[in-house]
Amino acid sequence: MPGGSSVPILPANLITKTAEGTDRLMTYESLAEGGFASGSMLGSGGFIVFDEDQCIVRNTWNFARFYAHESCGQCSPCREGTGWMEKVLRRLEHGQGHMHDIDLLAEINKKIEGNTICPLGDAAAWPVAAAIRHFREEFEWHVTHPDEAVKRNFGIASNHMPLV
Amino acid sequence: MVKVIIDDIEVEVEPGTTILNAARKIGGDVVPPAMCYYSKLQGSGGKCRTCLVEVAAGSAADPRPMPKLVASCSTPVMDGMVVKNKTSERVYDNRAAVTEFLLINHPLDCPICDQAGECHLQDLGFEHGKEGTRYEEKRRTFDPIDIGDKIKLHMNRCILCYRCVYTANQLTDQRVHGVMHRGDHAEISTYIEKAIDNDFSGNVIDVCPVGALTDKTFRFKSRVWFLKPMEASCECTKCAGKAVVWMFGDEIYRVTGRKDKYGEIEDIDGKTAWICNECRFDKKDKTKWKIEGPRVINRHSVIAQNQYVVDERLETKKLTGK
Repeated sequence: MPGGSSVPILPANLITKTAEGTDRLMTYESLAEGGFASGSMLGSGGFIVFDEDQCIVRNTWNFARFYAHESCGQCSPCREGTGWMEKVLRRLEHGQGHMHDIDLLAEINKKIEGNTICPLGDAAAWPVAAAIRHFREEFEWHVTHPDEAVKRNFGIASNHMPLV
Repeated sequence: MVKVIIDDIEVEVEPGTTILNAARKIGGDVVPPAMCYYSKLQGSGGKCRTCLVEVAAGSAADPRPMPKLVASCSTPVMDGMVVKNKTSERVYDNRAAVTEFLLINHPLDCPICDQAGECHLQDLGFEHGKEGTRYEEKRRTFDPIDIGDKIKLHMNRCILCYRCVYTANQLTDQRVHGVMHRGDHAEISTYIEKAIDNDFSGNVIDVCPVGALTDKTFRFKSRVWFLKPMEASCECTKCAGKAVVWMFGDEIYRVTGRKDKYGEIEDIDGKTAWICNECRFDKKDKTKWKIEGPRVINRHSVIAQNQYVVDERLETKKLTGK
């Protein structure tokens, strides 16, 4: 995750190379290449690296919890939306989610993004949107294997995307 | 004067006017709904995000569209600006989303809520709300508290528009009313419960768009649509004494300020006609008021007809499929 916790998360193959196959540099322009579909942002310049055994759902929940806590509560999309996302992600992480929750999350963060007073709403929405975009399998595994999801992590090593 | 085009209607307004006020100058269904903006209160607006509009062209000098939807209540117009409200599908989608956000923690207790019938959130939900809810978690709940001996605060119903905070700030001499905590734990509160004793504190009931702040002298007495609103005036040393009395037969059930069609207290003789607590809570005797005649109520209001009328914009939306 380039740029701290508030930008889209990328899998390893997209962080080292862009979708076109050119080398990704640690610059604002290079990281933004590909837009939000396959790119990210440099943001503050801080990097967060997860190894292949980390749980993406748990990390996304952690970020959502942070933003729900930090929301000042003035504008309604952020006040209600961050809290809602946090609750849905907590359910998913603890094996109580449903398949439609994943689409619901994607829908919620689309509606928070751009509708708030300050960019905290955007910052809360982007990591969740990107986690679903790139690691949807892991979210679905949490729904289909609720018992296993509380005992062990999905493990990114089994992800279909080849590491380069 | 600057020219601005809102939904293909051109209007000339003073420089520095907000998009919302320019739209109100046109009137009709061009006006975006506003839950938190209150033209009589300084600094209000920008919080609820229901008045979001699309700006298709920023100004004559720089005709690029704005990438995000903007809050029309806090964005000033520019010369040559092109604004889309009811003609934009994106605005409808996002307004429906904001309505959903406002409603996820709002209890659906309209049948026992005193604001039902004149509630802005009810109107908004009728126009833009969905039938079901996608929120499966517990709603946040608070216990109702008394603010002084005449006002009841139901924090469950609050949508945190901050109007009452501005009212308490700007109308009264001491700031005793505010918002505590943050995020979805934020709540309207009084620092010291007994400190609410100034003469104009009752106006927080009038500015509240939902049923969070209600009049304890009127609670559960009657539904608003069973009452006859009458314009009345009285001799009062503290306020202008121009109010609306809500009558049932010969009895006065409650007294409110004179609100215009946007739910805001009217200006009378160049001054906003806030009413004092004595007029609002204590003068329930018909002999103390001079009844001037029936109050004009919007034809589409549930108070006028005892039912909701389908808005023309929804009809056009259905016809055009947009």
